[in-house]
Amino acid sequence: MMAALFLLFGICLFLIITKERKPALYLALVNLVLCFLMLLHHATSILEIRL
Amino acid sequence: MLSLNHTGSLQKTLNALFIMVICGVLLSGYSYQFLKAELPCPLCMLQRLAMIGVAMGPLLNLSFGIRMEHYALSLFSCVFGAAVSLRQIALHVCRNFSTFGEPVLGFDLYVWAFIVFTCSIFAVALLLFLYGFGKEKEIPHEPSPLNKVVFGLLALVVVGNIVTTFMECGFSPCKG
Repeated sequence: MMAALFLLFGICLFLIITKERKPALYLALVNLVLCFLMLLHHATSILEIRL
Repeated sequence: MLSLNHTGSLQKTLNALFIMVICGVLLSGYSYQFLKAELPCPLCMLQRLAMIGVAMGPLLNLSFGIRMEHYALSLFSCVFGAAVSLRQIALHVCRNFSTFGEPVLGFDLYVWAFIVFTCSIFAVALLLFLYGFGKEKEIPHEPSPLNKVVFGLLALVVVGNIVTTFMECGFSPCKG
């Protein structure tokens, strides 16, 4: 799952190569939100909180 | 006094330099992983992701012209990365608790990451200050050799991280 987050940035780079500005920007923003969710997952799993 | 064209090219050069510095930090963390044989923890990977996000803004600036929303992406990433670093610092803040990895120049790697994110916020603020002076119409152009080099460097870091993270964690969220 963590590798998928890196992969999404890889797709962003591909979109930049293909001159797609807005999709690249939005995908990077969505990826940051997913990273935040991953941080939340890590924080809750370390405390053994079930959301 | 600087002309608009000079300010525009100065901004682009500074953007390229910014990406190089971030890639340097990422590559040094990456070499630390191999030389010291210390696999990165999930929070370290989130910090790496945030650093790639920070570099993505200047890369968009170099490819499509300088825009506010590109700097906003970098700032979001800086704040997120700083939050992750602070969380890791908080996890190891007590004196008797174990630290993660060996310190570099007296600081642990996650402390260095926090310093990098804080400095990045200052760097983006400086670039935003210059943005006000260089509001000229962007003319589409072929990417310069410097742009190609920084793009290749960032692509190398991203692809390397995809491969090694997949080898370490597979399809599961990393545990550590």
